[in-house]
Amino acid sequence: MPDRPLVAIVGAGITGLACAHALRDVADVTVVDRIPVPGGVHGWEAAETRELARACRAHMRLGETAIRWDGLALLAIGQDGPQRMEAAALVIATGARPLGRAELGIAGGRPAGIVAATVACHLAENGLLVGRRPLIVGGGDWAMRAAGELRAAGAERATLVCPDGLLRERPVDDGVHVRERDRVVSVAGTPRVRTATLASGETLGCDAVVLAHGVAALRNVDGAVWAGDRAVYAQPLADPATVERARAAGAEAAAAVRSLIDQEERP
Amino acid sequence: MIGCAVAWRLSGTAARVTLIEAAHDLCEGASKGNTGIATSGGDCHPGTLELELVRRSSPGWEALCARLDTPFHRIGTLAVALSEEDEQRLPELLRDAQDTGAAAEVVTGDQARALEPLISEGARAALHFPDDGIIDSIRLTIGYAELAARNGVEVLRGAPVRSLARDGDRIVAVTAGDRRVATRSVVNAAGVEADTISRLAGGEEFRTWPRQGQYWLFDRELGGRFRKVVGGVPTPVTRGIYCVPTTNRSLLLGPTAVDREDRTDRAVDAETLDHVFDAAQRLVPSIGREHAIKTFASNRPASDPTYRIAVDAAVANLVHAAGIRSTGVSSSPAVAEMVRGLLEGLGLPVGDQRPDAVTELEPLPRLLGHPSPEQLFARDPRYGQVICACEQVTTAEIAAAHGMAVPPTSLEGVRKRTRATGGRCQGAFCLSGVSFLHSLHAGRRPQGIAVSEPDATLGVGADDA
Amino acid sequence: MKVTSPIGELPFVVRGVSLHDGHVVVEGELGAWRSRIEVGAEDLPMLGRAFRGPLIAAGLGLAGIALLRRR
Repeated sequence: MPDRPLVAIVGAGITGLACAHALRDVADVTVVDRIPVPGGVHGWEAAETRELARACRAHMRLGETAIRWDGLALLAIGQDGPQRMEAAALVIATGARPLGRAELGIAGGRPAGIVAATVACHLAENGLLVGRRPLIVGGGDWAMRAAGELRAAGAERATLVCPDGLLRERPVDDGVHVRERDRVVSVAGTPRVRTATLASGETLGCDAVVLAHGVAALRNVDGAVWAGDRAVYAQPLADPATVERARAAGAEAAAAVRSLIDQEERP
Repeated sequence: MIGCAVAWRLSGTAARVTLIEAAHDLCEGASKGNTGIATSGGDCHPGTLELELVRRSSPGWEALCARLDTPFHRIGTLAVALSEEDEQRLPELLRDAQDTGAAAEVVTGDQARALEPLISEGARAALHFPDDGIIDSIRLTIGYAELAARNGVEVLRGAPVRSLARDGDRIVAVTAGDRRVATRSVVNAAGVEADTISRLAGGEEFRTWPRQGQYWLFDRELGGRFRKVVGGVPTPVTRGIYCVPTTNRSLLLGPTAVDREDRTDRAVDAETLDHVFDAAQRLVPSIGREHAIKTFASNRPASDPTYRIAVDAAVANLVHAAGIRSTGVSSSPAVAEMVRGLLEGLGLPVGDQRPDAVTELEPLPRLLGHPSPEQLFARDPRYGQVICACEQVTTAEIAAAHGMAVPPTSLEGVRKRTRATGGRCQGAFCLSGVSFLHSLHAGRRPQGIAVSEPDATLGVGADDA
Repeated sequence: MKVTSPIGELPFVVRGVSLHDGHVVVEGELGAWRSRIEVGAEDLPMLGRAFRGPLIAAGLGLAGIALLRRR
């Protein structure tokens, strides 16, 4: 059907795929993702990913990075060069990240060894340990995962400092210590972090501070970072990021896209 | 900044130049931690060397920055009067500004809001300096050094000066790191350590100390909306807090100015940051903390007197370029020229340009905001591989940075040259990718690559080689 | 075939293997990315050693992009 509206979705995770799936009968959908496989944080091997990727009937542009949106077209770039895709609506389904240092209000110097949990886990998976005695800020999924990955990669001990308390079951690992209802207010050390001072007044020794607290939306398409023209945001800021939440956010975004398109079509 | 500017200025002459830097990379001190305002001089004091050098530098920024592949925009500054008291001071400040020779005008609150719609409804009037500019001070510093290196200047990094060997009233050699450099003349542009260098040389006794400034950095979605640098009305004590849209479109708030003792301390504290934020928000109420991406502190070199640019009284071939305080960006080209003149007076062959000297850097295009990504991709398909999504930095740009005459030796060096990891997620998404690329380019194992100084490694533990 | 990389584990589908100037060239697809591995005699002692995933990924021309992946 040539006159179906074109919709561009950035992010081929469960949210983006679920959105594409919900729009499959009313729009021609293109899904763009900078990773060369679908699935996002849930992975390309997940059953839901495989099923949605097959059933959504969207045109997939994987391994391409969406960089600009001007309200009429999306510009993405990848191995085949820049691609301009006209679209009646843009859906941003690019997931989330833990809060950064400024967002957490951690004062002090700028020593090495302050890293996001996303980075610490990736490096650990590749055999690179960011700290032997890491202090992990957070008590949710990212924090638990970082504790596990770093211990597995050789960390002697890990201390979780949980501003909102421990959101998951207490880790059974003896090498993981927990400080509930406390937060890191400043860090010190040169050139690598050596201590972190908590709101309770205590100062703990550490050789890395892993930021794993809170959830912020990742938005990197210029023109659709805050309130973009004809842009819909499908980024559930929830911990844990479950498949159910992702599906629900995708469906919700699809409904928003439909009402946007309906408005356009009305005279 | 000043050391690199002098090296750049001398590099095209017949002199053989060695640039010595104590830190692991250039641009690690005040040069990377400043507002990036290139003032046209309206806020400087008449009759000072500082003003003279700022005024000499100001008209040339467009041409110089084009040659150094450095972003510069002459967007102007508004010094906004929020109180009646501020407003009453404007005529006097205007007269002072006019005495400097810089363009300046007093505008009404409505006119100010027309020039910059983001400023407060409470703005009563403002002093407008239309010729002020914003500059990427990191790219400028690295641009100076890069062009210098292409012209044959030897750049020693991670080479703190240990001693200066004298023969009578002249320095004959500098020992820096593990190198001994024989020399006919030494330029002291060591910033906050300028007093140490003078002391090591047996030169004049003077004191430099760190004046700490704390800053906020905000998302470029916010900075991109600004049209002007926005500040308060300067008092005799301080110029106050500015909101500065940077050439990267991010927004800087700051700086504070507190004299300190510890030269290495770059810590921020919550109370000071609150003060900076509140002052900025009074000027621009729509700023929200949720868009903050980074806070940092830097130390600019304070001294008494400022702008000590002269041959040392005791050491005949030591030229000081010290105490260049907060206007180092704004005056650097003219400071470099003045130092060149002093060296020429000492008999060095720095009078004429060599005919074969390189005078400009070939611009390295960046994907972010580029009008024709197709052209970039045709030039190098690696422009199709975006590594840092926030700043849209590609593998082509990271490769080019590593191909420079003064390449990055740390992740911080990669950030300074490409902006990778410097965006709104501060590397949460791309740091591992950037690390692996840097590790490949630098030929070092990921474990051992440096975040900043060599012993600040990304990984800990034994190298599993 | 699976490849561990800075962006997690990725599927690698071999489309062809050939010999060029004494190098074994494996062409295929890393997810949606066209990829090529060139292995020379000098590489053999390296393989399986310290760099593991990152080196192989880089050899494939894969630019590292961090993505948190759950198992």
